[in-house]
Amino acid sequence: MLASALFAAATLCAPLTPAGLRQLVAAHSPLKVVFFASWCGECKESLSKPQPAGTIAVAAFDEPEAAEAAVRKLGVKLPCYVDQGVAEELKVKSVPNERMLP
Amino acid sequence: MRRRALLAALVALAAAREAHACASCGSGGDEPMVLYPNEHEKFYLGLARTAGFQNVDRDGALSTAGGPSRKETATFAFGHAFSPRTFATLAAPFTRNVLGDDQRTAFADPSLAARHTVVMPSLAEPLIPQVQLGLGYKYGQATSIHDSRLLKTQLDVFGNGFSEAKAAADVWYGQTAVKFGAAHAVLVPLARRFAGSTYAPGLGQRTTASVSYAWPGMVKTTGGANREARAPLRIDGDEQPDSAQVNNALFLTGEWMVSPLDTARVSFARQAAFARNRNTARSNAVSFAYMKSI
Repeated sequence: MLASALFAAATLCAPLTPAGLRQLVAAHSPLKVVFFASWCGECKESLSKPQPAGTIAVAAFDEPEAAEAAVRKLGVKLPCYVDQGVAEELKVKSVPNERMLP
Repeated sequence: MRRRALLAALVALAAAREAHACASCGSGGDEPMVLYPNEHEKFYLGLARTAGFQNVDRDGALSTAGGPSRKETATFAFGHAFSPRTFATLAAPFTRNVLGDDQRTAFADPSLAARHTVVMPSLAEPLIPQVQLGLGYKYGQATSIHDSRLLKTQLDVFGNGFSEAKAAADVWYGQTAVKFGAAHAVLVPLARRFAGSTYAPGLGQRTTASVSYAWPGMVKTTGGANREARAPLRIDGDEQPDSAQVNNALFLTGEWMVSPLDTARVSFARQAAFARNRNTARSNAVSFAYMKSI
């Protein structure tokens, strides 16, 4: 289920709500979340370095089209999502930011 | 004698300049801080000490300045983002002028500025810079040399006497470890009457270039230069001969991201530091600032 969700997300940076995140965590725990923004130069390392299975990238404080363009251009392998309230729920206020959700 | 009075007025116009060495935006200019797209509101407290004042005449020759031996300024600023691309900052400086054992304190000129990002940078396109356009307004409320009651010491001079509007463009290549910035601002001072005469400072053009390096550990250093040129001063419509101004300044800044929401910055700035300067003031400033995003 997670694999299909991740695969679906890989083709497009799908919106991710707190409820959606809870579904992902329920299906794959622990889940590593890499918050990034296309305007954040320091985020490139987080997106490019090897990440464990079950890691997702979430574009926060960003414009969806810009985030998607950056992910495509960089060839990011992680499933990509666009934040819709997740960063606020997890009290993420800056990028890059990595969280491991049990 | 008239020439000396004019130089004093011109130097006073320039002496109120501050270089905040805005490291994150490349402008090195007026606004003490910028907001990143993830920031909604931000506070700034800066403490600056400026000393070593010298007058620079129309030929670039240095002479002893007659005013305070040092100026200490505490600047409080608040920034608010209206969107990830647009923010405004309000800055209120409070200054102490010191000469020997004597001193005076007062609020200097507050300023309001707004910036809009027309081109967002992208980590996938490091050759495309961030481009920002800005507008600003400085309210010239502080006592100037034109209405000073302490002309001999100028201890009550806290501004240049003129309100000023500004339009600026800022280009910033910030996606790599070595970062480059360039900015240009057009400064439009508003004419004002003093003692029955209308003073109209000339249009200003300020160009800034900077280079930064981001070190491991969230530390960034920035060095840069800016050149401010002013058209001649007019008094009652008459252009004052040899009153055009040029100031070439240097700045060096170290910035440390204490936490994702807290940044500390130390800056050194030297006015009239290099090349040909005229009708301005040389000074050295060191400042420490703390910024907190909320």
